[in-house]
Amino acid sequence: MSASLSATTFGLNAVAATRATSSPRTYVASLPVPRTADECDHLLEVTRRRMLSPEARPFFARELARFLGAESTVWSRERRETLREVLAAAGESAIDAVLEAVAQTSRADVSDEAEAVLRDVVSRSPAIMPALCRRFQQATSPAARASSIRALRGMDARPARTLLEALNDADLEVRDAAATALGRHGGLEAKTYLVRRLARERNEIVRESIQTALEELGGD
Amino acid sequence: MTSADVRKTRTGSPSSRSLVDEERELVVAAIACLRASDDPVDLLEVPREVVERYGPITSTSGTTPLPAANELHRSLDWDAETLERLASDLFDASAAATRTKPADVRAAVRKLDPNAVEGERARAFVEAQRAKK
Repeated sequence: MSASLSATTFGLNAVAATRATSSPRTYVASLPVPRTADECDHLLEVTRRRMLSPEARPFFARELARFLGAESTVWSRERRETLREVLAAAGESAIDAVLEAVAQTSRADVSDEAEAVLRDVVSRSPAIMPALCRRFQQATSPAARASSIRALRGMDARPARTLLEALNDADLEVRDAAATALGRHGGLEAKTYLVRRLARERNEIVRESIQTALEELGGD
Repeated sequence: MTSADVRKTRTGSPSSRSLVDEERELVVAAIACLRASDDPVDLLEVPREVVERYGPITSTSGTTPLPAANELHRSLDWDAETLERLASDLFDASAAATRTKPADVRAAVRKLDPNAVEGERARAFVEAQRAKK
């Protein structure tokens, strides 16, 4: 399939995608990659409008999440900020979309942007935090689990059970993220669990994170 | 290579030598501003001459909120196979990332002039860190 790159048909493609059916599962058209600043602005505007519809939201959130970490020159800092804002407005749909993007690539810039979106989603609607904790438990990708934890550690509320569970994850990146998060959230329980984990943790990176977390907590 | 190792592998060699301390601090601050977080920052430094054995290094502007750091940004516009080969070789050579701890990340951010930071969110983050000083 050849994708048109003009700004006009770019918008029409997106509109056609939403009109194709009433079932999100049958949205099959992918948004074309924007090649110019105008196409990029148009993509963001069209998706912003389309995501007002709850039915279309999961599809467009997934489509937009493909552009997290985009390195093309059209994705300026301002447009990347707008991309994150539009995604965050998708609420729970954004959680699945960005974690899927993280699972597909382990690039740090994708994870950083994904985590910024997740933090924004929860700060806009704190009631979504349990959903993010559930996604952590359900995710099979270690990178997605780690991103969930890194997003949670920016929260004022304390999803302690999830963080403690993450401290014993099979993947070192997840344990590393959990140690830093617990150092941030504090509390006697956090300190106790960190000390226990340190006693049996063999990975040097994670051990260092636990020690740093204990320092931040004022422990030893 | 584990995802944690990949996470620590940032493409781009900011200069022909290893980063000098000021540049490293600037890059760390830029990443922190981008994240709006004082989470640890892991950097894997690879000498330019090593990277050039695999392909050309392209100078491109970064998109962090710190223009000064963006000037240090470089891209590796290679096919996936070449990038994978570099990553595998680095892994085989046990190349290790250097971690900047949260306290040092905060210190790097506090040195920034908020007026030199682009974007409301990043500027607010810098101002909040400086207020904690």
